[in-house]
Amino acid sequence: MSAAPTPVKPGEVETALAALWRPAQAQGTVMPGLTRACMSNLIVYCDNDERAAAVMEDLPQVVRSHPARVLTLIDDPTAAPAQAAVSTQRVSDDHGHQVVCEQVILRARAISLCSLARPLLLGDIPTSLWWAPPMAPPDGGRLFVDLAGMADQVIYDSIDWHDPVAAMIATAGWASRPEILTAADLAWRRLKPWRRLLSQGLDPAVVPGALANLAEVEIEHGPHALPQAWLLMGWLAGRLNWQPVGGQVRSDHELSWELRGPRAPVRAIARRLAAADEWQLRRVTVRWKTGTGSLEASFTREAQRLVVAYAQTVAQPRSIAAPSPSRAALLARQLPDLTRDEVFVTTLRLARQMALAVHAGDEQRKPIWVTGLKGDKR
Amino acid sequence: MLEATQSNPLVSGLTSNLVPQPCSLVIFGGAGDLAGRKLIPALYNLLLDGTLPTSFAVMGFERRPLNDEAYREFGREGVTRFSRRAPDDNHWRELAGRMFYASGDFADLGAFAALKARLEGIESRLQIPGNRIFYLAIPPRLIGECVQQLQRAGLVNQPAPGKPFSRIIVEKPVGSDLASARRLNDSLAEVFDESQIYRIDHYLGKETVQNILVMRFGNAIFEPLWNEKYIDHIQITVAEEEGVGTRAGYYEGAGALRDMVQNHIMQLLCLTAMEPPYSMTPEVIHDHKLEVQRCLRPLAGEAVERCVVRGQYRRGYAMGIEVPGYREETGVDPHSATETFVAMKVFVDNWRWAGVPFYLRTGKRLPKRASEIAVQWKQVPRLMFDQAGVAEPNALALRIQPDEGMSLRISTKLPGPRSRLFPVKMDFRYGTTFGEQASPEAYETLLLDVMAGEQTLFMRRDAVEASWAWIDPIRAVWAGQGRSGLNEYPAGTWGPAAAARLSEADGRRWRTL
Repeated sequence: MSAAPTPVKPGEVETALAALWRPAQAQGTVMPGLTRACMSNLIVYCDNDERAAAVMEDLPQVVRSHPARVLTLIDDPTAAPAQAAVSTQRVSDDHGHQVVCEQVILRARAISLCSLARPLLLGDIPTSLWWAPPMAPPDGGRLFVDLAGMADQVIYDSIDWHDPVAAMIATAGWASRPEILTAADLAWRRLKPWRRLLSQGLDPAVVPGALANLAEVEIEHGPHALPQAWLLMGWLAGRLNWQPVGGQVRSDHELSWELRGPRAPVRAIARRLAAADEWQLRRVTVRWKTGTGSLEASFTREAQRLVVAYAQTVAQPRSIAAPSPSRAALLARQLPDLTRDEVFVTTLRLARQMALAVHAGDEQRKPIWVTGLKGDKR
Repeated sequence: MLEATQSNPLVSGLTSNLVPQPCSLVIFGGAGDLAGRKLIPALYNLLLDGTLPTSFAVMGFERRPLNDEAYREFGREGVTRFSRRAPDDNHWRELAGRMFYASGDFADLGAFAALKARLEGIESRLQIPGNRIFYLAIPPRLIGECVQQLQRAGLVNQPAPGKPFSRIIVEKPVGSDLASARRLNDSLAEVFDESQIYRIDHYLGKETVQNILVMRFGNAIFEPLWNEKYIDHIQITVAEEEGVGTRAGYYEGAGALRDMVQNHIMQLLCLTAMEPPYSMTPEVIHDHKLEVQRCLRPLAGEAVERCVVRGQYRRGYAMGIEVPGYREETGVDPHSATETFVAMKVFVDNWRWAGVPFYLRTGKRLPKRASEIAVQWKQVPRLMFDQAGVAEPNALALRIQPDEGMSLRISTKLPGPRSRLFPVKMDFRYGTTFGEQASPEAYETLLLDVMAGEQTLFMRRDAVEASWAWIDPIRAVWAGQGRSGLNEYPAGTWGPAAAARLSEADGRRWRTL
C-alpha cells in the first residue's frame, strides 16, 4: 500500500515526511505494531523520466525485502527551481506489523542533485547508490563521482550497456581502485547459479582433473547477455589463473580469446544466439584434456533451472533451481551485501584485460554489438 | 578447510564456505514422522538452493515394508505438506531419483548386509565415493543395536585422511539420565570416533539462537555490562501453547525437565553466560559452553524444594476453548506425576555471574508459544527524578521464536514540565527490518553442516553428560516425592502460583511475554 507522491518544497521534505508519518502512527494505536523501517539509504539516479518510471515500478518490491529511505534523483535540465515530492510505502509483515518506508523524488539539474540529496540521508545506516542509466558508472563524470562519494556501495546493471567492451574497460578501472568500497553489478548476481553449478559440476571430487586441464570454454548467450558471458569468462580466468594473450571479433555474433593457463593454452568463445532468451546465458560448454583424449560437460539453462550433463557420462547429470529474478529482487538482495567482493573485482580486472585484448585485435574499434534498445526490458 | 575447497578455486566467493561432500544419507526411521516432516523437506530445500552435494543419495531404512516408489511418494507428501517452498515437478523428480528404501529389522544382521550391498550399488552408479551419514531417527533403545549392526556389516569407516567418511547423527534425547546417556555414548564410541558423532539439538540450528553470539560479541556496548556488576537477573522462557498432543507415549517418560531444560534451555543458558571465545571453531565454542555447565550450582536435596517448581496442567481454557488436563489426555496415566511445567532459579558460580540469579521456565499449555532470553540490568544507583514516574530498569529481550528479534527497554522523559520517567521499548524485528527474506529451516542448516563436517552447532559428549549430571539430582528428589510437590495450573495460564512466588520472593517478577 503506498500513497501518491505529495509535491513539497525541497527544503521541507523532512517536515512533509513527518506529516505523512503522523496519521500512520495514529493508526498504529489500533494496529498490532507500526515500524518506520529503514535498513539503508538508497539513492537512485535516473537520467530521464522514462528511466524514473521504470525505477518506480521496482521500488515497492525492493523496499519490501529491504526497507529503505529511497531518494530518487531525476536529472532534468529544465527543472529550475528544483522540485520534490514525498510518499510512503506501507507493507505488513507475517505478524501484522506495519512497516513504513519513505520515498523522496527530487527533480533537478544535474549540478544540484547532490546538494539536494545530501541533507536527506539518515545517519548510522549504510547508503547505496543505484546507478540506473545503461552506461558505465564512471561515464557519469563529476555527477557520478559526487554521488558515489556519498555511498557505501554503487550498484549498476551491465546488462543494458550499449557498448559492453568500452564500458567494461571503464568500469573495471574504476572499481578496482582501493578507495571504492563496494561496486556491484546486478549481472554478476545473475551469474550466481551458474557459478555455483560450474563449481559443483567441475569439482575435482566429481570429475577429477577437469579444472586443472580445461582447454576450451564456449558460452552461448542471448542477444543482450554479452556482459554476463564476459563476466563469467572473466571469473573462470581469474579463478583458474588464465591470462588473456589475444582476442578477436570473429563475426557479428562471435568473439574469441586465447588465454594462457598454468598448464596449457585455453580457448574461449562467446557466441550470441538470436533465438535464445535475450537476457540470459543459454549454455556453457567446457572441454578438458585427459590422458586419452578429451571430455566435455555442458551446463544449460532449462526454464527455471540449470542442468549439467557430461558427454561421456563421466558423472551423473544434476540441476539446481535458477529462477530468473526480477531486477528489483536482485537489487534487494544486493543492498545488504556491503562487503567488497574481491572475487568480483578480480573478475572485472580479467574482463578488462580481455576487453583490451579484443580492442587490440579490432583495428576499427567500433562498438561491439550495440543493442539498439533503450530502456529496461526486464 | 575442506579438501574440495582447497582444490576447487571456483568455490571461493560463493555464499556458503561450507562444501558439502558427495555422500549417502541413510535415515534409520526413514519413513517416520521426523523424516517426513523435517528431513526430506530440508533435503528438498537444499537441492533447490543448489547446496546439496553433486553426488548424493538418500536411503530410508526401517521395518515397515515399502519399495522405492512408495518411499518417494512418502517423501513427496512430506515436501508438499511441510516444505517452506512448494515442490515443483522438475526438482522433485531429481530428488526422488536419488531416494531409495530398504526394509529390515534392526536385530537382523542380514538386513544390514543387504543394506550395504544396495548402498554400494547405488554409490557406484551415482559416483558417491563411499561417504556415508547415518541418521538415527529412531527410539533411543534401538540406537545401541543399530550402531553395532552398522559395525558388523562393515558399513562404518574409521576417520582417516583420504578414506571415505562415516558420520552418525543422533537425535535428542541423548539418554534419559546420566547413566543411560553414558551407556548410549559408550555404545556410539565403540564404533564411532567423537569427531564422527553429531548430536542434534535443533534449537542450535535456529537463526536467532546463532544470533545470540553475534549480538553479544559483535557489539561493543553489551559485553562491558554483561556481568554481575550491572545485571540484576536473567530470565529464560521456552513456552509452548500446545498440550502433550500425540506425544504422550514419549512425554510420560520424559517430562518438561528432560524434554526442555536438559537440552534447549541449557543451550540458551550456556550461550548467554559463556565467556568470550577466542575463535568460532567447534572445539572452542564447546569448551566455553561446557565451562558454564561446570559452574552451575548443583541443585539437590532441600535446594530443589527451594529453587525448583514443577507443575502439571489441569483442565482450562486455551484461546477461549476448553481443553483437557494433562491426566485426561489420551495415553497419559490418570495418576501421572509427570511435570508439564518447570520453573527454577539457578546460579552460575563464577566471577562474572556471582550472585546473579537465572530464572528458567518452560511448560506446556501456557498462554502462547514464546521463547526468549531477557536480561534485566540493575536499577540506577540513585533515582533523582520525579517519583510519580515509572522507573523500570533497563531490559534486553532476545526473542527466539516466534516474531524473532530483540527489544531494549529504556527510561525516557514523559513530555511535560515535570521530569517524569516512562519506560519505552526500542524494538528490532527480523521480519520487518530485514524485509521478506526466507531463512533456512534449522534442519537444513544442520544437515548441511554434517555433510560439510562442521560440528559447532552440535552437542559434544561431555556437554550432554554434564547436563544430565546436573539434572539427575533434581529428578531424584522428585522421585521421592511422587505427586506431592507437583503444583497444578489451569491450562492457558503462565504456570502455578508457586512459580510466581519463586521470583516474587526475591522481589522480582516473571516477564509478561
